[in-house]
Amino acid sequence: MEFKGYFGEFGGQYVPEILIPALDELERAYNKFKKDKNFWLEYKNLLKDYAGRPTPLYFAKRLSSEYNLKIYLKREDLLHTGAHKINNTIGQVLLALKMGKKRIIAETGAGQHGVATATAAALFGLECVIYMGSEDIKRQSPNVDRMKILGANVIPVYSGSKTLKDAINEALRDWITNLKNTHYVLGSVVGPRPYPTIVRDFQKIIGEETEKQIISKENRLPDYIIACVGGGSNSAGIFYNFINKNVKLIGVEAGGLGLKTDKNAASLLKGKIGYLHGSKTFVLQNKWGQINQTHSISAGLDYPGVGPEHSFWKKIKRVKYIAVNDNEALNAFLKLSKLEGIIPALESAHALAALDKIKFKKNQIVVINLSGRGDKDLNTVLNSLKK
Amino acid sequence: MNKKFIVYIPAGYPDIQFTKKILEMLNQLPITGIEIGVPFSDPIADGEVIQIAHQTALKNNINLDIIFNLLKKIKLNSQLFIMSYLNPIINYPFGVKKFLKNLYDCNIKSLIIPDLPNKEIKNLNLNFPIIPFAAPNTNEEEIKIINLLKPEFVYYIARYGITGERKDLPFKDKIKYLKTKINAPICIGFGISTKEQVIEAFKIADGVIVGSTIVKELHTKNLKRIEKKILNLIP
Repeated sequence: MEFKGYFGEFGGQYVPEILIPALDELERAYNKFKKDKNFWLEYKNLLKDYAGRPTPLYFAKRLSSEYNLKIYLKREDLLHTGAHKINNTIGQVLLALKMGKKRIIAETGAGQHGVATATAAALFGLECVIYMGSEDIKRQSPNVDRMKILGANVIPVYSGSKTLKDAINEALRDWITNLKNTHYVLGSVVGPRPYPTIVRDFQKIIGEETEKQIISKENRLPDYIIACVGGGSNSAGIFYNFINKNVKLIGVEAGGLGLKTDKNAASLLKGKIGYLHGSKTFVLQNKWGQINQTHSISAGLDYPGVGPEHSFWKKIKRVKYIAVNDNEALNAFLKLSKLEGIIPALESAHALAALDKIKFKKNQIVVINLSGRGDKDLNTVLNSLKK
Repeated sequence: MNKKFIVYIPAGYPDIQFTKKILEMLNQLPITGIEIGVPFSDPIADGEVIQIAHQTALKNNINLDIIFNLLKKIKLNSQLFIMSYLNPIINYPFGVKKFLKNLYDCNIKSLIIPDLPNKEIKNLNLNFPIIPFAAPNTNEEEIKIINLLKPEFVYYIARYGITGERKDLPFKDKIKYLKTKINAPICIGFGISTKEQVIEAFKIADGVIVGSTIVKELHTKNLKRIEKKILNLIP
């Protein structure tokens, strides 16, 4: 059965009743401004002049010759604040302004979404509160400092696994309490309707640009597009435009210490269908339906759920999902740094590591979404290399 | 007393043996309902007191079968409700049929599912009575859905916020308005922690649900103290 706001059987609005009117208000506002040319013009102008779009599609020559492929990197890492997250936060903060909200809250894992939210809030002079797991605060301290300098109040979350999942719980609790003046800027294609759609729509520009750029360089569509999947916003952003086109789409989950261990964050590959943070989707959980604590070297992928649209794409077999473990991602991180002079985020390094996992034909065209830059991960990487 | 006084007890906190003792003690008190909380890893509607209870219960490996086994052994004088977040229900390891059979065997009146909003109740099609929620922001459309469900009672969330102790009872006009529109009894929960609030609630609604203020005392394992706490709340 199809219900409004579902992707096949996935999605929905499984949140406390008191949030429903706020979600309805958001959905009405979004549907109104979606059709408003001036709103999109304002959004696109900000992405262009403030965030730095379009991002280049870069032909990675040395990496390509290593794999006998034509590898292009979609350089979301070059955006202002260093990741694709700003595409969404500028859109949502604009929406919040239109709804008359004065206060912005957000969760963050790696800190990229927190920084991008704090940035957009500063840009429009809005109060900003960021919830971040205390475990993530330790491993992503440069981003914590950036958020503070941008004027955000970073609140550590000590409950549960002290990571992204718990930061979302706490942000939802804040939102329930402060509905009237607050907009919750969710950072990924997760959560209750309408968030998965709104975030995907603000990220789909990645795929739209990619198509134009690859056509102008190669005069055809790529054979493969590869992107990492935590909640799934950068991958949904680059995949969406190609869903009905003849391109193989590969989503890369965090394999952590391996899929045979319970120390991973591969929700689509190892999860069961369940309900988390407002969506019916694949969830890593135990026998009794308790949500598992996950592990990944990359804080941005360390999440036991995944966007409901990805669950749908998995079910209809439109996207192939694979996993890359911590060490493989670490090697890809170093490899790209040395071969191309680009230090990728550990999240994006998972997508790069997929190059070793797929049987390509010679000279096939592969686009990899380089969703963010790796400055924030230097501590993590150096500590891992010491071990 | 023709008003409802419902007590929330998180199962397995601080341990399952004590939950049994509490239930036996509640049998001696003039209350009308017991809401048994199933622990969940991510209780997004709950404040710190109940979060800690859930985390402790999970550390004790409390699960639905342990709770069902306990409830099957005790004969309770009050109406019994199960409060659980959605995922442990839907992913009950022995299937929905067995889950429902356990509910009947334990004489459960209705389920209370804090992350299941009224409009998803029908989509879920669980075939068991579910208590709908009302709140200060409930609109006409929601009222229609609530009345169609013909529930045992409606759980009115007293405020914008999560569970936890408060002293006030806001939005009284909203409650009075809902009383004229909703056919089922209305019970008020979220932040009810003083006798004064209960007296006010009984004037304009049909009952109360009391949680955090009692849960806060459970770790003492002092039955007398907990009993006194509850009796002090009843007008």
